[in-house]
Amino acid sequence: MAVAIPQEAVRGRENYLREGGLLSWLITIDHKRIGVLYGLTSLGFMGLAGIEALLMRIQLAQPDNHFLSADVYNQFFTMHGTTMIFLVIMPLGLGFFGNVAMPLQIGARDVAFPRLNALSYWIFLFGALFMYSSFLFGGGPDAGWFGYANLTERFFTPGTRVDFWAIGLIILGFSSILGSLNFFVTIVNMRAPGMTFMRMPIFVWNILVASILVLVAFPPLTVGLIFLVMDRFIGTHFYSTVAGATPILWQHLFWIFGHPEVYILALPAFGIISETIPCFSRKPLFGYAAMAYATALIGFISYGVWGHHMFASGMGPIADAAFSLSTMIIAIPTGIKVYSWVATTWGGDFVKNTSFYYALAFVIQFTIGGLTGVMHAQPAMDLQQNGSYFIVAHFHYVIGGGSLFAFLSGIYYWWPKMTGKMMDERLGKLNFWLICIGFNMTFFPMHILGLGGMPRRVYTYGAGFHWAFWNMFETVGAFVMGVGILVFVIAIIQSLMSAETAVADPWDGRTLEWSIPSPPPIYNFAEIPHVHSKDAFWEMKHGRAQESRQPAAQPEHGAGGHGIHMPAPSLFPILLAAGLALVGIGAIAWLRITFVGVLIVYLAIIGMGFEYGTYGEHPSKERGDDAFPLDSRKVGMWTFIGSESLFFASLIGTYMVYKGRDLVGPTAKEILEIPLTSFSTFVLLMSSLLMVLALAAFERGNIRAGRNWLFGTAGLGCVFLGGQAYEFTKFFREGVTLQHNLFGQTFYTLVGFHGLHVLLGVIWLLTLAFASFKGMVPKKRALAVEFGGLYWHFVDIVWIVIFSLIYLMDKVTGA
Amino acid sequence: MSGPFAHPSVPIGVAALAAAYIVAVRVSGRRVTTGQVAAFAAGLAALLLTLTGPLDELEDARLFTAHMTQHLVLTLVVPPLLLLGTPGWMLRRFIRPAPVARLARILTNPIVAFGLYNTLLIGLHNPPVFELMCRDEHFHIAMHLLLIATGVITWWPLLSPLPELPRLSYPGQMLYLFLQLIPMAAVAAPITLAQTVIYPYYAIPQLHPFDLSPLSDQILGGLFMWVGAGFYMTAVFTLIFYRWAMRDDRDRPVVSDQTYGADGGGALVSRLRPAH
Repeated sequence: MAVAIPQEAVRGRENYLREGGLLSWLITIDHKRIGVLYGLTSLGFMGLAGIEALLMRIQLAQPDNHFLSADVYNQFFTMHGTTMIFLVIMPLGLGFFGNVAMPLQIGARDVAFPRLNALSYWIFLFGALFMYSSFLFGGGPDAGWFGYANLTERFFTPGTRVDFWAIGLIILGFSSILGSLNFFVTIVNMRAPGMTFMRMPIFVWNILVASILVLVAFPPLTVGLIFLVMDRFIGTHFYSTVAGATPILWQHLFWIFGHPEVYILALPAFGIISETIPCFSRKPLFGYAAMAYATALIGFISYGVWGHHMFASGMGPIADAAFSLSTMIIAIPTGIKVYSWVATTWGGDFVKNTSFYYALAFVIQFTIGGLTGVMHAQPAMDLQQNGSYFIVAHFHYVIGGGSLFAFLSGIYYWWPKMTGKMMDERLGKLNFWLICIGFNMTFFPMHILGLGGMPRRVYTYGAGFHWAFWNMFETVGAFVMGVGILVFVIAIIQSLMSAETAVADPWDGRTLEWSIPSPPPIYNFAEIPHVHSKDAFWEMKHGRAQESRQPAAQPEHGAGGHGIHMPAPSLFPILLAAGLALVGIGAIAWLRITFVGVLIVYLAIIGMGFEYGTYGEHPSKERGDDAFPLDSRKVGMWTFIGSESLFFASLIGTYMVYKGRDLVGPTAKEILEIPLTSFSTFVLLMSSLLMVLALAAFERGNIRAGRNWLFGTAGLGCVFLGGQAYEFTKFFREGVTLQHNLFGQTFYTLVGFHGLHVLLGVIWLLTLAFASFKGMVPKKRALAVEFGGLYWHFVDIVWIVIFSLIYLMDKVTGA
Repeated sequence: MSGPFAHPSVPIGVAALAAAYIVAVRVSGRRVTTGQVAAFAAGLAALLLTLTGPLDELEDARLFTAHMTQHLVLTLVVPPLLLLGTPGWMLRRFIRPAPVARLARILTNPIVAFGLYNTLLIGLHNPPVFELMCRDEHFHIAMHLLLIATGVITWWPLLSPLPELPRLSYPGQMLYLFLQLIPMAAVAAPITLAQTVIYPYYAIPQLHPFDLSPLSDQILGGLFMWVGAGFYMTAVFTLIFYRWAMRDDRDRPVVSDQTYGADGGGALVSRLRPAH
């Protein structure tokens, strides 16, 4: 049900923060509240990561120190890195700023899928708690944030530590993919009328590109993690040389994810800076088009440069040279950005507040990190510095001095909008100087130590290396930074307690979020604005003379006379996320819990699917603008399919790479049976045909026929699965088990995951068919059948690819 | 083994295309711009030079990199030039019959176009197929023709000369190009990073004048496809972006809903709609 807010009641519901009690936050689907939840959670984890860092710094302050044992130190540096990347910077950038600012900047009432948004937050929270609960059961993960194989194999790292890490990351991956899918569809589909891509605030551009990168980068990581979990739990050998495999595969899968990830962390920060610098320089952003181009280009290139993380893995001089070149190229768009920021400040009339200070510090510190990054594009130099403190300095300047400073700038900037309160400037300047000085004291000397030979990830060092002075200096710096963070927290509390309320537009801002009250009402915009230019709100306030008669942003009288429709809160997101966490817990503790988790997930999905009585008329359709060309859910489904394709591509790629490397037979061409599988393939193709008929029947309103076709489709799917079960049993009898050889493990994993997708499809279609008995799938909800159908056809196409590449290719060519 | 007539099919094909173009212009009496003629001629020249010139000589001398370069030219240079050089009216009469029009609509649907080209790309570089292609001249010619044909189809959403089979919107084009990089990397990366020579045809000691071992040759060829083509695509990406920015950058004083509808996002998603 959508909640209709009558126009006359609108004035009474001004503040999104104050509506409902504490419990209402558990079922909230308001993007602003979800943003706040993201922010609080991430800042909490930042506290944890900070404490870990400080304890590590105490340990390193003196040579031959024994404050922390080597074991605890390993856990701390692993979790410090994992936390900062997956639980702090990424959720702050996308989850917090993306949610708080992006929908407001594009003039939307919410994101495209509000419940999905809540879901991705709760999965994030439970996944993070899951991973951290590792400390309660035998210690935290301790294999480094990029968990290189084969250190992570059960043989080298027994116990549950790496299990928590790997499964936790898989859970967090769901959260990231769902969240980014949501943002992508929101930005493509929900922009206010007139806001073309070229009029979007640069922050929105950055969120858009970062979301696309999440969608393409996480599937390979998930595949890598699944292999790792399989190696650890059921004794496969994806990463061990025992069966002819190579640990380098992990490096590839990880860095295919890992390099785009760097930009996923950095792009939201670039976006924030591109908002605060123009605002506080009292100038428009220099080179809007070039900035948008640089943002898009970073996304375009970042997927093809992962090799530069692997110079030390022995790819050979030709590959090193090529990756070196492509890595240097990617410095160009980043350079464009830095120049644009600098040019924006040129001749500006500065508002010297804390947000601006952080923004300036960002530009300088990020540039330092960028320069050392270009140095590492040189394989010779990289080999020298790889694994040393120089690298530690480099990425802390990029992510700490870069992203984190930008986020602090962003928090100071959007704080009045979020909370309706101002932050104290004196405390602000104090925490800025403490954090800035502390940061540079901590991390700048690491360049020196790194060049002096100090390696990363050592828990202590001998006195004879003469590293003691700078290490002590860094530890002092770290504590100065820690005090700065404390002052920041005090400033937050002080602001929340203060009576001073913020006006709607405290900074004389340029973008639409400043046109609505602080804090915004639940529905954000009483009337959806019409946008006629970049910096729409600025034009409206200070429009050029010839346009002054006509406001740049015209409100649309589009609420249709029957108030504003907002979707109702939902309990299902938190339930679904809890179920997913149970699946993970069960995998480690007691397998039966996993089944309970799966059941909860299934029921929650059904609940979510049928929650709105008017499925065919999702409230998003009534968000004041009917100009959207295509249903958001359809775009979402296609995006999801795109991301899934990459999941299968990674599995197929692994199969192809490992083909022919088996140490023992039998292999594909000796064992695979074409006639049987051809029959299965035919059955699956026929099922797609029935699916088409089912959809057509539902669209005509012939529910009975539609239901029968659905049963037929699912039945053929079951026949296919039966064939697969037969094939698997036969191979098992012949001795080809998952653990037997490389062919066995890659084949079962790939074909098995496809089979799992078929199974999910069968369940999906059967659910729809049974729901139609209850009249829950009427003609106007045929779209629900269409989604099931899209998924079904997709799974069929994947099978055709698998069949041709794995079954046919070898047989036909006889090679 | 050398000279332009080593593979007579190439000059014959190029001459036939050139003749068809000239006849079409002469018979119809319609105008083609100098740019179009130049683009078409450049496309044909690239085709001829790639398949008959020194590059082909090197390919025959078992230089894998030369073969990869041929493929890149055939798929990334020739098709866009031919498309740029062909005015819409020249093609319109061919798609007039309803079945052809329907087929053309399906083939030029971005998802189909993407799928066709990349299926060929992935299938072709599978070692058994590649080996067969190298050893069987007829199969080789067929594959090259297929590469050009699917190349034209895959470039269609970017450079279509026909409004009735339209281009993608600019943001759609950029996303499309980005996605093209992924299968390309998926094919090139295993070739580049392989520890052994995976195509036996190229494993014999070199007949070419360069001091490249078969493995280094394979790595270089893979990199041409991966990083080299990546740079090329980056340049195309840049061109598209600036065309878009120049069109869209001007602040229009009054915007109607029609203008919004013509905006990139809208066109992008409506083109993603599956063909009914």
